[in-house]
Formats: sequence, C-alpha cells, structure tokens
Amino acid sequence: MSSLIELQQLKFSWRPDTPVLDIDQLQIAAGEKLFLHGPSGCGKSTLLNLMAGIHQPGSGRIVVDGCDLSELSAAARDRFRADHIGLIFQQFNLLPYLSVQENVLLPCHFSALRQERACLHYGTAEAAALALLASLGLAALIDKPVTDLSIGQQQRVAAARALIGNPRIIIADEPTSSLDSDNRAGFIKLLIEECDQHGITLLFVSHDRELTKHFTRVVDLQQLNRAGDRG
Amino acid sequence: MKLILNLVYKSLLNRRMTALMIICSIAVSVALLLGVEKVRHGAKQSFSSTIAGTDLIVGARSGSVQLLLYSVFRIGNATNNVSWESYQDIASNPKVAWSIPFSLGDSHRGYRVLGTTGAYFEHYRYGNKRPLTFSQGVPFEQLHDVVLGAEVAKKLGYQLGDQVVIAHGVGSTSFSKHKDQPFTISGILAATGTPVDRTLHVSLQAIEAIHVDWQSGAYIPGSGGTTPLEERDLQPHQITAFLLGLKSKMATFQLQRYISNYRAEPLQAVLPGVALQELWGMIGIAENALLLISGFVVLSGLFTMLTVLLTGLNERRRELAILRSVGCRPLQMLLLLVIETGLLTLLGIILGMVLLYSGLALGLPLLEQWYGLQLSLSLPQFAELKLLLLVLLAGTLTGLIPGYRAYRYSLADGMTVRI
Repeated sequence: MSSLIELQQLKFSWRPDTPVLDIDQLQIAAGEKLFLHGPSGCGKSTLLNLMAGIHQPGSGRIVVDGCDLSELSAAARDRFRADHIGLIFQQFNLLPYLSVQENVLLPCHFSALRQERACLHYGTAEAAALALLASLGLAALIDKPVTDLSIGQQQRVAAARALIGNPRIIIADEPTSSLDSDNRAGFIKLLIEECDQHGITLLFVSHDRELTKHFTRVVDLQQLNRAGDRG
Repeated sequence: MKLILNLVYKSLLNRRMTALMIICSIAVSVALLLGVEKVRHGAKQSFSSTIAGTDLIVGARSGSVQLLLYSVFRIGNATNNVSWESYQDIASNPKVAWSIPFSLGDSHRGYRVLGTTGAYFEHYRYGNKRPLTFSQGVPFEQLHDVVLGAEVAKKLGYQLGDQVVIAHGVGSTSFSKHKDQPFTISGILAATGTPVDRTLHVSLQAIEAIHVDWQSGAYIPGSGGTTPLEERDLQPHQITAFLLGLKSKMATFQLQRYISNYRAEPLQAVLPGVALQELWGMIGIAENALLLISGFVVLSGLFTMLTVLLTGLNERRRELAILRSVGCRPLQMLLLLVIETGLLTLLGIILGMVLLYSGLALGLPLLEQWYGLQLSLSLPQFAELKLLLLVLLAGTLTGLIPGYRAYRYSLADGMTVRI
C-alpha cells in the first residue's frame, strides 16, 4: 500500500543552530489510525503544523496525498489544508457566536471541494452536518448556541466539523485531554468509527499512553526526532 | 465574501457592548465634525447675505473692511463723514439708479440708530435679494417716527406707538440723552437675521432735529435758537456713508474709480461682495481652527476604535486560529478585520448623522434666537459628504492595522494558540 503521508530528511528550526525537528523518515499509510506521543516540548505541535502546511520545513520533503507541500505556495497550502485536512484542537474548538450547525458547516464555506463531497453523499451540506451530528449523538443540539454545550459535546461537534466533506486526513491535537476517562474512550471510539466509515486517515497526538490500545500504530516522536537527542 | 460578512456580523453581535461603544465614540466625533461644518457654512452664508443688491458702498476714505463694518454691520465708528453736497452730486450721477444715505452716531440702549430716507425700505436688500418687510406698522412719516428692527422690538419689548428716547453716542449706558425729543414707534420690521434687526431707523431730518441744541458734543438748551423745529430747514450737512444701486452693473468699476478720484473730498467706494470676502478672510482663521479641532476629535475617535480592536484582538487569537484551521486564508483574515472596522465606522457615521440632525431639529430655533445664526436642516452638502467619505475611508483603513496583526498572528500561531 502506498503511503498517504511521507516525511523524508525533514529538518525544521525556528532559529539557526537550534533544530526543533530532525526526522529521517516517517510514512503513514492511507486509512491508518496513528497514535503519536511524546512529552511536551518534543516538537509535536511543530510536526502537526508542518503536516498541515502552516509552516515550511527548513529542508527535506513532506508529501501528503502525492503532493509535495514544500513546493506549494502559501496560498496553495492554505487551499490544500482546507480541502484535505480536518483539525481538532485540545479545547475551545468552536466559534462562540455561531450555532452548532454553523460551526460544523464552516469548512464547506472555505473549501468548494468539501462542500461538493458533503453534497455528494447527503444532497446538501446541511444534511451532511445533520447526519454527522446524529451519528455522534448530537442531533438534539443542532440549533443550540455552542456556549450551552458541555466540553465533551463541544469536542464531538469539533469532530463533526473535521469530518464533514470527507477530508483525507484528520489531525487531532490532544482532543481528549480535557475530558474525563469515560468520555475520552467514547470520543475516541466514535472518532475512529467515523474515520473508518469514510476512509479517513487519523493522526492522533497525545501524551496519554493509555489511549494507545485504540490505534493501529503507535509512534514515539521522541525516538523519531533526532533533534531532541542533542538538546 | 458573503461568509466573511456573516462572520463579521455575528462576531460583532457577540461583542455588541464593545462594538456599541466604538460606534458611539465615532458617532459623537462625526456629529461634532458635521456640526462644526454646518455652523461654519451657516455662519458664512448668513454673513455673506448681510447685504445684497447694492453695487457700491461709499464713505470717507479709510479701509474697505472698516467702511463695511461701520456702515453695514454697525460696528465701530466712521473716521470721517461725507458732505451732503458730495452725496447729492454722486447720487445724481446718470449711472446711479438709487441711493440710500446713512447717518450713524446715536444709539438706544446699545442698539444703533440709523438716520436714512424712505429709499432704505424701498431699495435695501439682504440674503437672496430679499427686500425689507414690515411685520407691523409703516415707515417713518412724522419727524419723530422710528422704525425698529425685529430684535430691538423683541428684546426691549416695544409695541407700536411706544415712546423711545435716543441717546447721544453709541455706548449702551450713555448719560447724555435726547430726552427733549422722544420718538414714537411707527413700524417694526420683520426679522432678517442681519444687523438690520438690531437697528432703529429714523429720518435724516430727525437726526438733525435732535442735535439742534448740541454744540461741540454737549447739550446746551436753547443754544440752537428758538425757532420751532417745524419751521427749520433740517437739511443735513453731512452723512456717514451711502449705498448706491447702479442702472447697469457694467458701470460699477467706472463709478468706483470716479468716486475714488473725487476732487471735492477724499472718498472711497467699495464693492460689498469684495469687502465681505476680505472681512471673512480675516475671521475665517478662527473658523478653520474650529474645523481642525473637530478633525482631531474624529482622529481620536478612530484611535479609540483602534485601541479597542487591538486590545480585543489578543482575546480573539483563538477565534482566528479556529478560522485558520478550517481553511480561512490570512488575507481573508485581514479582510475580515478591515470590513469590521469599515462597518463600525459606517454605523458610527449613520448614528452621528442621526444625532446631529435630531440635535439640530431641536436646537435650531434656539440658535436662531440667541445667535441669529440661521442654519438649514438641509441634506448634507457635497463638501460634507466628502468629509464623511474621508472619515469612512480613514476608519476602514484603520482596520488594516489590527488586520495586519491578525494576519501575522495567524501565520505565526498556526494551529496552536498561545494564550
């Protein structure tokens, strides 16, 4: 199976002489559910920003879905991210002044491709949002202001937003760290189910090693990142 | 684009308290700016409409502004008089259609008394060539008749038929009065918004009559002889100034040159429009200072907006990061903030206009009553619209500053937000 994400000789540093990331090679296959862990400060966030095309590597290649991000312009990387990558943060994922449904629909407004794919399966993007929210157990909350939601509910809305319009990859940056252990397992199970159903590759970042059992593969960034050894 | 507008709208609604404060601060500064502009325009308008239809003002040689001040505005005094013979000679020039003699120097409780002839009520024009009209009564007919300006009658509470004693000199508390010859009010003029409202009008003969027993500025009863006034020749010997209307405008400069070179005595003729311009040029400095100050008020309004938005931006970094993660490009982020400031400025301008116009609607009668300032509730003029457009542009461009910071934030922060 060809790899969906491929990193080669990747080097990144904010300042010369103090490299943050130095990764020889990392390949992630399509459909994989990858668990990436490591202590804070080991470059997890930087790696996510590189894979999402926010930052450019100092040297090396990042190929995502056959597309070399280091060769794209900033605007092209923005478009690529909007089209192919769904993101979930640790907390405060939602815009407080939009309703649940409006929050879920945001990626469709910024990416014509995701709007199109959402419509392909459900007719309209709104129907797609409703279906996703229903499968995440949130159908009753669709018109609620997001400020009325619990943190667990907010994270599931964020998952629905990342999932809408079937991106190729979902990057989740410690999305469960503010949840209690029951909610945590439920959230991960739902997320993985949805990713499986839509053929989405999941890149899950956490320092909580207990969660590794849900994933198909576990990567320790500290071992992978050669920059950390020197510091 | 529709999405951005929707986001701006909902985001602002979410921060409506702050947004309202920004709008109010801009509204107040815009109302002030427009108000100053309106007062400026109104002042200039009512100033330049003080006198109309007159082709030349003639008086003793001094300065054109001074001549305008004492003859039309009734401020200050003439340095010298014009002899009756010169007046007669020039008034009978074939190019002259009409003339109005002015004899000034006396007053009534601070209001100037003007000695003139019936030609004054016939030919004097103000504003858009409007003639003087009587709200009550008729022009002076008897020797001791007086016609009051609107303000004189209103402020001093005079009615038709009341008796008025004229004081010698122009101070408001003159001790030497022409008590021996009281005047009877024969008419009251309608308000004009010009110095005419603050003038008492009597005939030239009346001016002569009340000064019969005066010698070298002092009242000495009987010094003028015992002949009854009715039998005296009350032909004035000199007047203060006179207005000329010409048969043809083409002759204006010719006659002006003729008067300036008049042999018998040093005279001067000025074109009212030119002299008004000159005078406005002098007092216009204060008016420009006023405009400058209100300009700074607008600037401070914009700075308030900038401060509030920049402060708020730090709290909105999360919002910006979320937008970025769902595919909002940094340039769209910039646009978001520019539209936001533009919208706030626009709403501020609209509210400012509402404030100003409702304030004007309430305050216009007072302004007119207290300051004689006649403003119209007209729609904004082109110059005012230009000012408003400038404010809108400045406000929108102000958005570039927080916009640029949002742009930088979203580039630097990426997906991870440091709070």
